[in-house]
Amino acid sequence: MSNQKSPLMDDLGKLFEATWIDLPTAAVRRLTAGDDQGAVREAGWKAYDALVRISNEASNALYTNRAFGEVAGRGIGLALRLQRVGDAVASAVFGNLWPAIGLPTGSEIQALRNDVRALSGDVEALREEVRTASLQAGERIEERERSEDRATIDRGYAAVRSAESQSATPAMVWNGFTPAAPRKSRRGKNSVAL
Amino acid sequence: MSLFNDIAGHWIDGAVRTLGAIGRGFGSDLSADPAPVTPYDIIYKGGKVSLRHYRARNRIHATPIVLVYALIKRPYILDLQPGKSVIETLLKQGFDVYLTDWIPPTKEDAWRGFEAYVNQDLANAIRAVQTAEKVAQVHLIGYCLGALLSLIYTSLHQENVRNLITVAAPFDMGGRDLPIYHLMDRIDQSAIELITKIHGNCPAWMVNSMFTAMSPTHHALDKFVGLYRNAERDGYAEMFDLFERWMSSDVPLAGRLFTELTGDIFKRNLMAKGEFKVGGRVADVKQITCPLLNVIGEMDDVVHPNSSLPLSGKVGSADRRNLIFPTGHIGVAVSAGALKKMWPEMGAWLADRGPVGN
Repeated sequence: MSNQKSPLMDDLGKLFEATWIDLPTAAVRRLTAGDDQGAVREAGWKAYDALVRISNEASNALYTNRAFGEVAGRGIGLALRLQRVGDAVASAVFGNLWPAIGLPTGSEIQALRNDVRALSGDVEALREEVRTASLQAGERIEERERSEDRATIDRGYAAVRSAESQSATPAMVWNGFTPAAPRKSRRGKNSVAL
Repeated sequence: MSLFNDIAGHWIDGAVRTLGAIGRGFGSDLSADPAPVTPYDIIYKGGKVSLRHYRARNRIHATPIVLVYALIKRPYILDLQPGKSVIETLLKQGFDVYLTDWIPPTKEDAWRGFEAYVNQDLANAIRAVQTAEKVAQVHLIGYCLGALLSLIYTSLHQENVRNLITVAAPFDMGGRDLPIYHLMDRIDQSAIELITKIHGNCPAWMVNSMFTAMSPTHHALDKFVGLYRNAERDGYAEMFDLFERWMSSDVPLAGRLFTELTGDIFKRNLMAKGEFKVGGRVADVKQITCPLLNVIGEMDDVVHPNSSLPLSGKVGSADRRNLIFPTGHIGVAVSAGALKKMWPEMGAWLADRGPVGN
């Protein structure tokens, strides 16, 4: 006979030890000797860890079980076949029924969605174009207004000049002087002309 | 009552997260990844791979590392947090690192099998590295399913690989050491083909269900209790959130690859038998002659150590070694011990076998 204990038996032993020996002992010591909660907690975690290991061992045992494997394997195969049949029936029935009663199919809705998405993209692009065009138009209008303003001023000057030239005592005669461009800063200059 | 309240609170948070994941079919898109911890450039994008380049601040080694990530879940697990990043660890050792970021396949990619992933995507990515670095060979590190891709690539294109490291490689699937393997044996090939006929690919939610089924108690309860018990530990809750996010970041497996993986690799064990054909050529690991470091997580419950151990005995390399580390499957990428000891040891192993100088 083998003396080796199986991991499951080992964990069951630990669970038993933690729940029936360690936990009650720690609880009694806490009540009587006023020990802190640490020992109770430790015993609790020991029981929990043993429980988790038992659960793992149980699922492992289930996976290695031939009967469970057969059932699970066949179940997966069956589920997939049913899904395939379901897909085929759905596409056959709805593929013909839907258009017959005038309802769109999933692919048509998807195509429509794609169209709408593409259209909204186009609208966004157009909106951007309009925004750019209106900005450019605004700039052009401003430029035109500025040039019109300059022309109006020039015409005003011309009118004033002609009126003044006809007057006997002109207050001011325009002598054609144009102001020079402003001088550059002389800060960087090292010498000064005397 | 704080114990029950807190655990119930964590459980409800987890349930909400799971519902969110169900809502999107557990499928993860590239935009849902958290902000990268280590900056990178994308140097190549083609097929279903995007190749990231992480630059070492003080590069010592001329030969770069190409890190081949698994086709399951997103790769940010390798660069999760500052101080908890495989990428950061390798950069600190003076290697430039290239990481394969596999783009989730769509229904149109159902035709993709190992041939497309290895001979097209991975081969093109490695060619891009060779061109960018002006090197003839690279160091290849593969993790999990990425280790299988690396093994197949090296078997077929040995001339491009200077050193090969496989981490948690699902190589010999002949044993039935994990209980879930028994259950998978019971699902017949016609059911597997039905999955691809119905969905095109193996949907992300199915991949996630398989992982959940491996340890149902952990996913249903124990991880939330663990969060309660470790709430005082610095950074634990933050790490838990990131990790949970990653756990639900599944991506679909391309239809043909899924069929080959379950039929040829898992059920018929063709890889270990040296009979697995990719693109008309046999990907026999005997053709691998470069140094091999086979890294195994002693407590790996996704790829059992017995699935990885036989690899070193089957390759044609004279320089081959197993590195067994006391960690689990994901612990290889995130555990403090692995990042402190295992990855530096892997870096040192590569450094001993590569040219020095930039």
